[in-house]
Amino acid sequence: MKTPIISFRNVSKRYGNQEVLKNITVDIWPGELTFIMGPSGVGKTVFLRLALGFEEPDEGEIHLAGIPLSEMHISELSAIRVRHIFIFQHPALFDFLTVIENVGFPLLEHHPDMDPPYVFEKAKGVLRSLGYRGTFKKMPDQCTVGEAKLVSIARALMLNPKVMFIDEPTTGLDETTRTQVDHILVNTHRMKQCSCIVVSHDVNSALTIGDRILFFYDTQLHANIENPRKFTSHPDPLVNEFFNHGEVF
Amino acid sequence: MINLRQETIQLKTFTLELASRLFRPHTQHWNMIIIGTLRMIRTCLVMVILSSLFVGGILVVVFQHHISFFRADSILGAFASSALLREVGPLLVGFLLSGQCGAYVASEIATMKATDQLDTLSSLGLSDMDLVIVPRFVSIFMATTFSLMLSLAGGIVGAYLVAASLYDMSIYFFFSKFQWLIQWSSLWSGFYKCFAFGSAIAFISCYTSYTAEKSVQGVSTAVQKTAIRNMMALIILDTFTTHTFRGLMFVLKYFGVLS
Amino acid sequence: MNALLTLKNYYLYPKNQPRCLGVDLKLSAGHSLAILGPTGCGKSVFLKSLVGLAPFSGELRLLDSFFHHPLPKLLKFPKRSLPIGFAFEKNALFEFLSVEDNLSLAGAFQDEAQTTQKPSDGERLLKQIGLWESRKKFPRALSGGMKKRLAVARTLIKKPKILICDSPLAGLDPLSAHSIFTMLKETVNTGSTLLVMSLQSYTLALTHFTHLLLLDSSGNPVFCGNIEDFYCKNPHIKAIS
Repeated sequence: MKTPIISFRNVSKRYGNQEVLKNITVDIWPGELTFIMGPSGVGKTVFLRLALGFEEPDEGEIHLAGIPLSEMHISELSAIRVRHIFIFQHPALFDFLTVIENVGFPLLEHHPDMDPPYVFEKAKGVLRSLGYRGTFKKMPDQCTVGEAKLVSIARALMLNPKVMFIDEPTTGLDETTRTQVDHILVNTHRMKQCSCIVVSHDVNSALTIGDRILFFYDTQLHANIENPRKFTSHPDPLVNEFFNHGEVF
Repeated sequence: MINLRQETIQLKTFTLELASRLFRPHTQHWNMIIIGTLRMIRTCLVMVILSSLFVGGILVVVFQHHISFFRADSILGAFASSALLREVGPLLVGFLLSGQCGAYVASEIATMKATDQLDTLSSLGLSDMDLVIVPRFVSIFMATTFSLMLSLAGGIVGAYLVAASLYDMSIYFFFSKFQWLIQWSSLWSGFYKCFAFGSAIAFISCYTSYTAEKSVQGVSTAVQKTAIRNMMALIILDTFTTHTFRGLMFVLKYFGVLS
Repeated sequence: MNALLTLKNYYLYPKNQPRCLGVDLKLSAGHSLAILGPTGCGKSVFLKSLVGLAPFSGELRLLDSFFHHPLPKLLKFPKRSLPIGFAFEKNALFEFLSVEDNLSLAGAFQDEAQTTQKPSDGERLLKQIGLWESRKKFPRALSGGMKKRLAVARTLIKKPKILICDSPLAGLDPLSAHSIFTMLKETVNTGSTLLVMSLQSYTLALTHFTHLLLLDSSGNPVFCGNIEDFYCKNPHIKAIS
């Protein structure tokens, strides 16, 4: 029997007086390309941060790869994070390293015995396979938004992750780059057997490439859409409105 | 003041974490530390030398007024140097360094935090403590300690230059009473302060920026807090180091480290 | 109808490299221009050059004033506040001011006659964008969509003749994007405003705008002009949409 990657049991999270998530119970299974959608400010990003232990829930229990987060020691957690990688919305490249060093950095740190030229060759291969066309020696602040996004995805892929948590991969990108990122998602998902959990506003890509959509609204898990490729309409008018507007914007 | 309890817990975890990682050998980052230290020394070298020369000068000018009253001009050089080594030198230059190195590192770390770079490290299964905080901590510590020691030497040179140019003292006359007033303990006291101030600046800068909020305001608050906390800490530490130094000397002599 | 914005032989200088935009455009009130192109192609630079934040050379007619720059130069306005609204991509809200104050700040530099009716205007706008309840909050307590709505509303309070928005829909969820776009569209439909905005969605540009400016990745114009002309040149696109 498969264990879920993440399972939330009655999880609530507050910031001050503001409730962000309330009584969430959900399982996310391996091998799926799950999209998390909803209006801004409903706690989608908080959901991801909670799942990887960057924040602690106020109530409830979270299991990551079958192990409860509350019982996990920090060293165990960082061992698990190597296989479960979070890609932030902001590309968060290390601004003291060049593009190629940024991509090679995690692998070199985890395996200090590896030969740097070999790692950098591998990094170049990964970057090229993602369709990166810039030079490898430039600093992150000279990259365009799209390039920085590709570099941050490449950096995560260097570690051969089992699961990727991606926060808004297509935000602020033009349509061509968006399709490129969608292709990357599908390819990594299919080729490398890597599950992806994506927070996104991009309804079109969610409906075309997603395996499952979790729709959050007003601190709650509002709808769970299985098989979005066959999605036509939903009993809930709110969900319908969201998806109809989303196809235009 | 609002969240004293939370602050205490934060401080405790940070200190334990830092201490446990500081003494674990992680040789792969030595080049990072050395480059960081050299860069930091380079940025503040001119400032340290210039200001320490004038700090020495101030002391000579201040003491000369009273000492000439007693016609004890020969003691002036030794007197000013002793005050410089024991007290004023490290303190004044420490203030400058807390602005130069402390604020620089604080803004760097707080920005890395605000732009998710620290979280990215831990999401890649790496430790942000090992890769960012510890190297910078060691770099500031070494750079400030070295600069403070340099400033002691610079202060004495400055004192001599002012004495020679304003009061026509020869070099022999200036240094003639050194063996009377300046023992090894004066020098050790100065070095002891340099170490204490260096580690205080390093610790406070890293801690304040590491626990900063993740926003633009968080960065500015962290830099401001770092500057204030550093200066407060230097003043408070100065009192204690002067006091504890005698105890320390006693212990060192007891164990035969010093004769 | 009087043209509000006319461009001729327009050159831009992103990173000090001259880049020919060469477009001939004539836009008047009630028109809307959509600028499309890949990231980093100079959409923002073009929009910024229209309000004097980036240098340009060429001929530009803005409202009643005519500018002819043979050499690259920043646009200098004769008066301090022309009726032009500019919404920045990153919102540029003031973190130390509340929602209300952020909104009223834009009106603070206006003439006496207009400031008297400002409070009610602000109230109407705040209610329209759904921020009336949170008017005492500070920008950091708002979600991304709310911030963007506030940033756009701040440009509307001056009742601008030309409204320039830099990617106002980027990074928003469909519901917020819809509400902001409706707000912009309503302003244009009153017939007294010209809307110039950059955006990411081709579908939206083709269905809701009167003029198009398409740029390729190196910033050269692929198409520039009326949407009908665009369909004449590319009939297959009409068929698809």
